[in-house]
Amino acid sequence: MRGRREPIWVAPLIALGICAFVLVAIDAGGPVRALLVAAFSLLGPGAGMARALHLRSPIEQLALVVPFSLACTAVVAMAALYMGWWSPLGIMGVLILGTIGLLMFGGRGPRVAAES
Amino acid sequence: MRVPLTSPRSSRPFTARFEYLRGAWNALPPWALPVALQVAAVVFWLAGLPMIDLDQLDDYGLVSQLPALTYVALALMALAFVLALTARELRPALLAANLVLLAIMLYAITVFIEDAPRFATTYVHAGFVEAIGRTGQRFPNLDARFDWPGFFAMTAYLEQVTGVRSLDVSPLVPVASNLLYLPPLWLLYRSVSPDRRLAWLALWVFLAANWIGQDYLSPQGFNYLLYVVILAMLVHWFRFPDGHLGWVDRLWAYLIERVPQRIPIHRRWRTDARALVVDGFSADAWRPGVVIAIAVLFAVDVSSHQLTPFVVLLGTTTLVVVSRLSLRGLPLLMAVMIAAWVSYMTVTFLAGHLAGLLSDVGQTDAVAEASVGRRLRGSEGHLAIVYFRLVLSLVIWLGAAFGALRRLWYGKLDLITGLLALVPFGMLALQSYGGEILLRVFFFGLPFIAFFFAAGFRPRRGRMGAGWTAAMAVGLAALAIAMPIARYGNERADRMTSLEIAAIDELYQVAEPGSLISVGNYNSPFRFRDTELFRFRSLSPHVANSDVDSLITYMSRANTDCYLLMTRSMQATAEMFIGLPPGEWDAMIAELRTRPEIEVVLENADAIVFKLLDSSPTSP
Repeated sequence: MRGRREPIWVAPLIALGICAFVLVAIDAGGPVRALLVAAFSLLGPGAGMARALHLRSPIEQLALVVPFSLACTAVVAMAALYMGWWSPLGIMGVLILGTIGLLMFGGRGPRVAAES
Repeated sequence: MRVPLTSPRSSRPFTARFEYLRGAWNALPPWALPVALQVAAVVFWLAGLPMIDLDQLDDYGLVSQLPALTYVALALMALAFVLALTARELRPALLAANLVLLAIMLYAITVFIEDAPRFATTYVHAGFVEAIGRTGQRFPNLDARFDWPGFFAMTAYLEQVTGVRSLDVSPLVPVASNLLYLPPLWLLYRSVSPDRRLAWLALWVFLAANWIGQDYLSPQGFNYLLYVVILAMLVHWFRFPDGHLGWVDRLWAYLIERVPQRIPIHRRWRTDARALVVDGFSADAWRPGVVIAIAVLFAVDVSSHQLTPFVVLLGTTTLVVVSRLSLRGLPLLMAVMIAAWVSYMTVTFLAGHLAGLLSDVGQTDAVAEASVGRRLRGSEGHLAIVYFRLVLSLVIWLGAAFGALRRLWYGKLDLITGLLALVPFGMLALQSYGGEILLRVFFFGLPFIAFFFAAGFRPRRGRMGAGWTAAMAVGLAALAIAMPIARYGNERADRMTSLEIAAIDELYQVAEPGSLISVGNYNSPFRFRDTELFRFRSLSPHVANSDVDSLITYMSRANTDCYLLMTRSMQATAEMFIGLPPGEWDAMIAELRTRPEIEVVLENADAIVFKLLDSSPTSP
């Protein structure tokens, strides 16, 4: 039986999310925080969704990862706004947990015809 | 005496040297010339930037200051793209580099020459973002856009976690947005046509034709991304499999059968009858998950913008009706989501605007008047730009119609792209959208119009003739040159300066919360912070009449501290759009200075702020 191989970018992306969260939590300033947080915010949630949807074509990933990320961010931010729990760190925590969940377990969903 | 064709030192004849040059030319790698042209274009473009004097801008906009070098650079980019596109071997990296550079040249030129973010609405949106981030609340009583807060909440979160103000990155948003639109458009184009070169060409046309300027820091710019992504996903994954013939295809086949056999096109159309159903590349994914993703994207769309969800719904419904989408229940789900949001989440807005919203339905004459008629006024330069935009849009639409006919001639009935290009026109029967609906029709149709415009030069796969290649180079160059003229035609008013911002920032320090800030008109970089703490009123009608008495009277009716803000960008707007004669603005400011009821509290070269001395109520 062949084992499932994880894409090489999964671990770095999770690490990026955790680093970004720590930087925001300690209120670090400067361009490093901005770059890391922006990179995670634009790529992380969307990459998780792309993995959950079994998107393997590079062009599909290129087309959808950033819009997916922004949409996930908008959903969580809006939920926080309407519930009166506005907290950037809390929103980020939800997004990171969701991303980690999708990245780790998303690839285990139903397999498509091309894989079987 | 006869002069020899060879030099004394060289015994080779002229023709032999010509052959040598041709050999050397042929020995060059095929990417060398496009790369050289692109480098030259960048150099020319950069060299042209210092020649632009923004203080000399007139009512024709940026075109009044753009040097010839800029136009040459854009023409070279077009030529480089055509050479790369028609090369024997397609080099995606080269074409992608050309697209990125073109996007920077067209959409980021103001980043290099202006000292502050442009466009007054950018500041208003940044103010909404700041208010949400600071308070964690919406203010629907202040502005209806708070009833669709998806984009503002997302941006407020990003602003706070990155530590970077949205206003500071806003100049880069147009170029970033347009680059983000391209990959889903590629997915869409490749799903409806197997021709990669046509897809690249359509992307280039899209960039060069998007003069509308709705891609700034705004909900509509963000929702446009969702619009193209949703449509791309639907067409990519949920169009019917190749060979499925819907009722339109069967009707088409029936009609073709009745075309007499002797007509030459009969055979071509009949042969391609099955190929009429799209033959792009196939896609694999977890489809139930894709449906959920589309629903999530649409939910964000519904909660972020008033107009875009209706266009997505119209497009999706149309594709289902003509049997091009297998997700037959999706339009119903979308309609329910829109109805739920509008009914329950936008009550504040609907309470005051329902009658106004419904009054435009079916009133196409009124909508056309609002979209075109009301724009045909203002200064001579501004009018010229408005006509230029109308003509440019018409040329692009006609070019697309020509491309659609050429595709049809070769047996390609592009039902998906064709209908999606036409669907936005349906909005004309619903809303004037503050006189902007025709702009939005062009904007929403543009991805598909670009496809057909490109198909005008390249309707099918295979080598292109020299004539069509030359026509394509000329057409693309003309489009790229025309784009900044149309897009930056209002730049005298759209440009904001750091002096204006400094004055307004200082006004925020001086004014007590709750004060009334009266403005000459709304075109100024105010409201970028503390937007819910102050009241704002436009005195545009009084300014248009240069009526200082009524202006002072209006201010004196305020029951609180009242300020009057007058800026350079307001002056440009009054002169360009309202037709205030040159000199009137300065005369009005001079008269305001003499009035004993007000005093100057702040002043610099681009802005002046007056304060009403006695703000107690003087009249009901």
